[in-house]
Amino acid sequence: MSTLLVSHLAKRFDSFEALRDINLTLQTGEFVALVGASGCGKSTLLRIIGGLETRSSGALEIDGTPIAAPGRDRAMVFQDYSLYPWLSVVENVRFCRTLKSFAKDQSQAAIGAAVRRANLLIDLMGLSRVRDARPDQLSGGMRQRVAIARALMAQPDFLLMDEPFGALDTQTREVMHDLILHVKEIERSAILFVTHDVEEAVYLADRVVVLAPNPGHIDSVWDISLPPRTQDLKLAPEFLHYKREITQRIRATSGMVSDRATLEALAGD
Amino acid sequence: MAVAEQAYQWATQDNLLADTGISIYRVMAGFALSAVMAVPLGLYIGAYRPVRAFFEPLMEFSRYLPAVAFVPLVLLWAGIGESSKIALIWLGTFFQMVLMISEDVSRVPMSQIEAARTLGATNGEIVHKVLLRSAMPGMFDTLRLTLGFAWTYLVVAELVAADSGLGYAILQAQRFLQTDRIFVGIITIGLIGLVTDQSLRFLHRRLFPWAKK
Repeated sequence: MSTLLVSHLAKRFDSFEALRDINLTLQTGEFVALVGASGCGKSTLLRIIGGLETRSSGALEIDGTPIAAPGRDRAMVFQDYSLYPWLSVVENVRFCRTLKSFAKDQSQAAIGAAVRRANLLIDLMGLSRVRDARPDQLSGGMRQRVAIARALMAQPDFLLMDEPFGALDTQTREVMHDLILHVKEIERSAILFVTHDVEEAVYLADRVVVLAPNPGHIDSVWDISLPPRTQDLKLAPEFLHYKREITQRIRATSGMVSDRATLEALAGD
Repeated sequence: MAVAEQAYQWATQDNLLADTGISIYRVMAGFALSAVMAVPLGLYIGAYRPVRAFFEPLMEFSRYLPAVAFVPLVLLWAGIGESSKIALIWLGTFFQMVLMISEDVSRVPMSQIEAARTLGATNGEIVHKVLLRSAMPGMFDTLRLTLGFAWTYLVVAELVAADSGLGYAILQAQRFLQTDRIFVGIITIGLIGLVTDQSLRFLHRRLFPWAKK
């Protein structure tokens, strides 16, 4: 059981205030989605947690230990271009096993366990038939499956996903949604998921955190209590209720003009 | 027609093969020297910001120094032996190569690097397991291009300071007004270039089937 704690975290880029007073906890087994209008700093927050960006102030710790750099306890899945195109699917999945930090234990048992885990993840992700293919021979959805398997291979306590399905078409996304929920059942990792798609957030997460821009701060937190997810649920009234409420929050905080009266007033000028 | 006759005569009586051989040797030696130095330096310039900050202005400056203008210096320092040709080829290719290779390295997608970092890779591992591997097809192309530059500088070197080689032969032909022979020399160099370029392209496709053009 691990707990990630973000408290009073702030981030400035020179004169631009990207994040202000962010407080968040994430525990093993949880699935939290970060949503918000573009420019609200949701990806920046994820990258700070991943150790890829520094924070300007505030605390970031896992089980009481402050974190400042990337670590294998927090594997990350990016939107695209992160696979190693010169490696096959199975070699990509096993990539972390070629690194010094994992290769210390070279006992037969450890190697055997790693091979079994790689095979398990490849099966879990439905990649058995393409295990020896190269990434450029795969579709976008299949590539993201490889990226997720590669991240899970490190047995991270926290899986950080930065709009992982943003480049996929709707049908592929639906398949990936059910797949990632299945992964969550099987793996222990807590998942922190950045998306701009509210439906995706409500469908996947136990908790949806809405970020608002200028400067980026937490606007509201929504505990999602819905029955086990099936695609039909996306049309159920309680699902649409969350989707509507959260969408309206984002719209209200984005500061962008979208209601008809304002648009007409602007057009009249 | 006259050119073909001349080529035949050169090949059978005046050892065209020996001239070509010595020229290829010089190009390869100068080019290999450049590559052996430029690949690691370019890799580290592309990978590490402080290294870049130190070397890049130096390389940018050196790149604009006209290698041809170094001919007198090279002759004074290295004499007219093989080393002067190799030195001139090195001068003409090395700085370009370093900058182009560091460009290849900096074009590696950020998410490939960041994915490795979140999987616990050290900086050294990122350089060798990600940057080098990912930039390799680009580096290979850079080497293919700079090999072309090397031929240009070879001819310059052989025109001014040599007693063998294709460039020297071209100069000799000019002295005796053998225009046909000049063409044979030029065409020979062109053909060598074409053949190496095509072979390297072929090799590129075989070595890096995953790299998209």
